This record gives sequence, structure tokens and C-alpha cells, in this order.
Amino acid sequence: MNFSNKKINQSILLISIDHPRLDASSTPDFKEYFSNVVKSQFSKVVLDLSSVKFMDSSGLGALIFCLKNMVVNGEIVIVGAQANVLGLFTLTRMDRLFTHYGELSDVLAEIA
Amino acid sequence: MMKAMILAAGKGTRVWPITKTIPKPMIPILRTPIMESLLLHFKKFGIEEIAVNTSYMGSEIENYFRDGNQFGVNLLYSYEGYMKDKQLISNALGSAGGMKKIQQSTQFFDDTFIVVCGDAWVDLDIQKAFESHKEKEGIATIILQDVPLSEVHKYGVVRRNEFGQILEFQEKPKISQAISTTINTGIYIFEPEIFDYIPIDKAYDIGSELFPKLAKLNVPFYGVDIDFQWADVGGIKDIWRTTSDILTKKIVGYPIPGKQVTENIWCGLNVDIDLSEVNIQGPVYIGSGTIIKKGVTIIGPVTIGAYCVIEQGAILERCSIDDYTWISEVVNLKDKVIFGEYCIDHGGEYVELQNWQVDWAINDSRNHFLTHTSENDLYRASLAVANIERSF
Repeated sequence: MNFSNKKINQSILLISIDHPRLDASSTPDFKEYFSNVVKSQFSKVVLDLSSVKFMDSSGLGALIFCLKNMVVNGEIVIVGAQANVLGLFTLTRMDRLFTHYGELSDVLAEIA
Repeated sequence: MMKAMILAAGKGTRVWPITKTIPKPMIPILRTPIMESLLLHFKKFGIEEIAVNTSYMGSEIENYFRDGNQFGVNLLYSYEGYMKDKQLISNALGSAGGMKKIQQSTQFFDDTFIVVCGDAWVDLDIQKAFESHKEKEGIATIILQDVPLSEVHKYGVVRRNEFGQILEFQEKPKISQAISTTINTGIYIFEPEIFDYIPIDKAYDIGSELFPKLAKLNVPFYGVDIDFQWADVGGIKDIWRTTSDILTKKIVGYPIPGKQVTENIWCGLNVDIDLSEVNIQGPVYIGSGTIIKKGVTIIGPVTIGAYCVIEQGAILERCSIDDYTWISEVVNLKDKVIFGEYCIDHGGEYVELQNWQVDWAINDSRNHFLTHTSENDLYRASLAVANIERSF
């Protein structure tokens, strides 16, 4: 209920988290939602984090879990992360695993 | 020589969350609390009788400085607050009100005296300031500096006549309304007559109340320009800026602790580092007992506290790390200050590390659970990313 998605093309899905926190309270729902909508159909997910005000390491863990369960060579990129959310990615070097883009248009220009 | 007073009662809201654990005058710059630098500077000019008004976390100040003996000075504290149910309740009187309280109870200020804010490091020639004050023959002289227009909103701004008398004093004006860019540095020299202008038993502020009143009443109140270095740490961003300015020599003469081991690297005692096995670019200060493992990257300016452990492969760029910090090999710390439980970026935004739940990445170096971090999934994932990176 706090998530929505939009198909960008055959292989790319946009998922938006419309919830202020991505932490232990919301990650089980997120993981379930992710696997239900992505299945093995999409090899690339663009994750819109612009509404997420706070994320902790369980949020990070959920993203890694989702990535692991995607097809081989699957990719998750993130878009619109707020400063304190992005800080968590850079501190743990997860920004190398999940490329960050400022705006959705930047991602689409590059990957779609 | 003159007597002095340090204003140390402020709550330091602009320096939150640092001031959650220490009061503003105790903020360490390269390991020395600001107020300690002030005391030592006073001592250099023969000023040895110093009053300090305390309130917010006053005990922290009193317990550190005691009676001042170990700093070669004599201290008198004036606590503003009271005790209720065994709890100290802070009740600050404002800067001028704090001066008045000391004078009321002891007549401490019996001749020309100097008052400074406890939240700035200065290397002012106090003798010269004293002489300028005597020359003007006023009852108050403030030491001024020019700042860029964009900074005026943080300070008191003055307008003077050709004799240096202050005709107008504007506390923290909007940029569009500022009468000049010449500002109050928080260093004042007063004659005891100043107390005639401060009301008894009520909170009263120097900048927003006393000085505008002196200007309005046409009291002999002067401002003098003296060239000196002044590092104001009134705001959260100022702590890193000042530390970085000292290390990069924009501020000169501030004592860097430890021993200089190469042109740009200073170490405390017993630092475990092999300079040929790390990628290090100064300026860097490393505190006593800290262990820096092989393959660590440090890009200065960086200060690392005492008894830290920086694991192999960690990357530190332009940051400052508190004592007893453990930094795991997955960490890439860039443009941050780690202070206690907080991770503060150079723009002043902060997070509580505990909220991020990254104790597998950053922890206390004394924590005996550290050996278990390798069992953490996120740690392993981060490590895998770090290892891929290293293989390129």
C-alpha cells in the first residue's frame, strides 16, 4: 500500500516508496512487494526514494536481499535520495552497488 | 593587570548536537577546549583573576578547570541557576545580567576589566586592546572586525563617528538592513561604571540590550579595529571549518598537539602506523594509542582521536573522528565529523549513528563484540563491494 510501480519498458521497472521510513518496520512489506512485482521479468529496477526521510541498515539489507533475488546481472539504481539517506549508502560504500541519480529524468536519459 | 570575565553560560543551541554532551566553551579544537585556550591567552598577558559565569552544563566547566591553578590562573565561578529535587536547573541571566550578578555579590570588578565570549579562539594583543581603550577614555570599548556582508546576520553590527564612538549598534540584522559590515567580536573592555547601565536581578543581554542602550544614551562607548585572528565556533559548521583552517595553516600559531612526524603529519604517543603501507595525504593529526592498519587511505585535512582503530582498507577523507572510534574496513567516511554518537556533515546536517544501525561499520574501539562483525550480512555485502573495488 505504501509502494507503487510503473513499467518503463520490457526490462525496466520503476518502484516508488511512498513511505517516510525504510527501516525494520517497513522492510518485510517492501521485500514482499518487490518480489511480487519484479519476479524474474525485469532485469533493472529504478527505486524512487525521494519520499523516504529516514533509512537504516535494515533498509540497506532489504535492498541487498532484493538485488540477490533478481535475475543474474540484475541491477537496482536509486533516485532522489535525501542527504541523510544517501549518507548511509556512501558511508558503507553501497553507493557503488546502487548507483544514485538525482532526478528520474537523469536515470531515464542514461539507461532507458 | 586587568581582571577578566569569560561568558560561559550560553546553551549553545546553534552547536547542537555537540552541546548535547558538553557546553560550548568545552568544545575541543584540535583537542583543546576553547575556554582553555582563552585562559592560557589571558595568562600570557598577566591576567590571572578570571570570573566565569556558568549555567547550562556548568559542572562540566567547573570540573575541568577547577580553581584554575593548573592553568596558572585563579577562577571564580558564578552559577546561574538553582537546585531542585537534587537536579540543577539552569537559569541564565544573559551576558550583562551575569556580569551584574558577580558585581552585586562581590564588587569583583574594581578597575578596568575585559570580557570575552567563551565560544571563540582569539590571539588578540590584549595589551594593545587595553591601551586603545585607555586612549579613548570611554567606559566601554569593543573590539571589531570586518566580515563579508553575507555573515552580518550572525553578529552585532556597528556604525561609528570619526572618533570611533559607536553611534548605533544593531544586533544580528538582516543582510538588507545592516548598517555596516564592521562587527562585534565578543571582546569588550569595560570600566566598572558600566554597571550603572545594567539593571539588577533580571536577565539582560550585552549585544541586544546593553550596547544599543549605550549608543542611544550617547555614553562614551567606542569600537576599535585591531588586526588579530579570530575563530568563532558559535555554529556547528564552525568546528570543522576552524579545525581545517588550523591544519591547512589558514589560521597560524594555533598549537597542533602531538609530535610532527613528517611535514604534514602529527602523531600523539604510541601511534601504530606504517607510513609506507598506508595512502596518507596530510595534513593529518592522529591521537595517542591509535592503530591505523595497512592499506588505509587518509586524505587530509583529517583528525583522528586517541585510541581509535582504523581497519585495513578503510577510507577517510576530510573528516574528524572522536576518541575510541572503531572504523571497519568497509567504511568510506567523507566530509564528516564523528562526535560521540553523531555523524555530522560539513554543512551541519547530522544523524545519530545508532539510528542508522551501522554498529558493524562504526563502533567504539573498546567494544568486545567487534570480533563478531564479520558475521553480519551487511558487513559481508559491503566488504564484497570494497573488495571488487580494490581488484580494479
